[in-house]
Amino acid sequence: MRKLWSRLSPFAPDTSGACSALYDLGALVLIHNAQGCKTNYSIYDEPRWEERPQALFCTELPEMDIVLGNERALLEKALGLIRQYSPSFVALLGSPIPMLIGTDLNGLALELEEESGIPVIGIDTTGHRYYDSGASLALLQLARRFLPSKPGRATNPDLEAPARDGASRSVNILGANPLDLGYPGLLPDLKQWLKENNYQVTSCWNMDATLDQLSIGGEAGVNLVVSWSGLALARRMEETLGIPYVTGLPIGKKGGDLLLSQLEKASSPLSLQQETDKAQQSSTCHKVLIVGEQIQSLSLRRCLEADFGIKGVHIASFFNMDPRLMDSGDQKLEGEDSLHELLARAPYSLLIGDPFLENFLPPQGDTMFWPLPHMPVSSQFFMDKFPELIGSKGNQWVGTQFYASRGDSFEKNCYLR
Amino acid sequence: MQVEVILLRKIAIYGKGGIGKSTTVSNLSAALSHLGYTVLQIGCDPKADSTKILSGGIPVPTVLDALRIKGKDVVLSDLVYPGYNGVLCVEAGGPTPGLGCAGRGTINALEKLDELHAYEIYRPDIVLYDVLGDVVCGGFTMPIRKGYAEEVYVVTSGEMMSLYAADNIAQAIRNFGTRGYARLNGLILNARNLENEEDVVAQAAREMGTKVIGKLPRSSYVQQADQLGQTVIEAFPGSEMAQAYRELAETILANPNTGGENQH
Repeated sequence: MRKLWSRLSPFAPDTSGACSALYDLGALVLIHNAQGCKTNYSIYDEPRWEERPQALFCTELPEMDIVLGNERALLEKALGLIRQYSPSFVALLGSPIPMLIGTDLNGLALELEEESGIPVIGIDTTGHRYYDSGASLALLQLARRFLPSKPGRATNPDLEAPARDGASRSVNILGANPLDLGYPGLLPDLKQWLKENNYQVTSCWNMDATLDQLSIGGEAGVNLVVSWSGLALARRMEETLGIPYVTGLPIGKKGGDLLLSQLEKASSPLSLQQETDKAQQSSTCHKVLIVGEQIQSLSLRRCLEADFGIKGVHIASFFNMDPRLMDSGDQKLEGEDSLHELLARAPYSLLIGDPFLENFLPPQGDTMFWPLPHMPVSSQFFMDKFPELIGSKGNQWVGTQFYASRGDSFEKNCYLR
Repeated sequence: MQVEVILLRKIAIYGKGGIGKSTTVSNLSAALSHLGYTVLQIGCDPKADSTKILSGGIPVPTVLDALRIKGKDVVLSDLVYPGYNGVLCVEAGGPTPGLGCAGRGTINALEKLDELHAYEIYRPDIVLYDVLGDVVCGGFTMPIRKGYAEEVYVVTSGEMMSLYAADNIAQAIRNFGTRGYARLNGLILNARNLENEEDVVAQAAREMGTKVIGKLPRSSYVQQADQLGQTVIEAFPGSEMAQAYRELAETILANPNTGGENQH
């Protein structure tokens, strides 16, 4: 039966992704929903909560307010919380109930802003999409509200684009969040890698950043998109600010070098696509399946290919996948059935993915499994086991996994080729 | 008559069920198309019969039906159908009667058109949203929210129920004044030949803070054309009724677009 989940628990919803993308900005986050706990958004899907809880609340709509469309109650609650917490801005998030009754969150945001005098953004999360959709929406709304456009670059085509030479080595990181990168996860190593390669991070959307830092994102020379949730923002910034973008994480030594060359060329993601296509053309081997977030998976594929010569790696994901970044063997998974069918149809030698996915492999089968935790799938169960992957640490991880799986080194055992 | 029009005009037309709203909107679309404009008419009524007389009397498949059948694989050609004189026809559709949520269905239909970049691809000069008059939930105000219609007209007669519905819509627009919603630009009198009908409707318009911008006389040609599955513009182009629709179209074109911000 399609979309019946029997082996995996429900994935992190769009509300969790949006909350994650709004963290540490001094915001009052108000989730417009029915009565019930908010532990999903504040604990299960948020590893930073214990260290530094945020002003995150639920409106807890009574039934009659829903039926009668009483929006004044939400506004009064919000105004009270604003007086109590003095946030830098307010974010109104949706859930299944306002989605169903057609609540105009953006309209409410305008009303609340007029009454409160502080910025308010509406984010149309519904609870029916996954975390990456919510994070993407939140980043776009943050940019619309707090990232000044540059009329000179966006609306005057006669002006010359700024020089993209070695002097413009400033970069925004887009799509950074603990749900994809872990916590602290890959971000510190990523920033260090950029620094070692003479790149200065202008802003990081949004993890370990401030609103002031985000507001100067328009000054960067290039955007580095590290997860799918940052793609829409990258495209918007390219359109409105003329900032080119590159997708990927520098996983593996040679994988990192390839990404670095792309950053330096400030090319479009099509160049990554071309490289992937090229790899597929030269190989007939279909041995490895990575199931996870698309951009991180692409980056791992690049490492396996460039650093280890493993070709024909396929990527599948339960989450959003950009068609322009997909190889011919890549597949969007609609549910557990899709993964079962995929594993049965193409016998893979290796499956890489969240530890919960090991349940999909037969116990006595030949397929190796390398765990790569992904919070939207397994919450914080395996967060202490999130690997280090940036640069040569990615090579070390691959070697370690190989040894753990087969008790032998990668060099001595070439059966994946 | 030459009129200057600001492209793109996005107009929502509301009205009590049965008041002749869809007939009026379809004839307006036909008249505007003959003035050289590319018109996109979007029916936002679960009955999905807004564009029937533009498509030869045969209802076009609805957006919700297409989503039901094709899901994420739906493409624009599943949703937008060329009708009489090139008028582009879309029907939002609705859920199974007695189940689901019609208002939410309207939202989903409009969002799907956005998602598939219908406006950028078809590049209409004028978009007409034909909307259920009983704004019974949030979904039916979707067409007048920021990013959609910027101006609203309400089709009414002198009958109390249709004026009551018109007043409801006017109130909703007033209530959401700070949300960037569309502006009520006038009432369209679809005459029932009641006693003092024009005065009654004019007075109601003043109380709503607007005016009557056009009057459509009662005519048997409307029903005859409907039975042919055509607009009056198509079936009886030389009739006084067709001329009335043309004049209404030109009045609307000449009426200042004083609505909210255009996001498309």
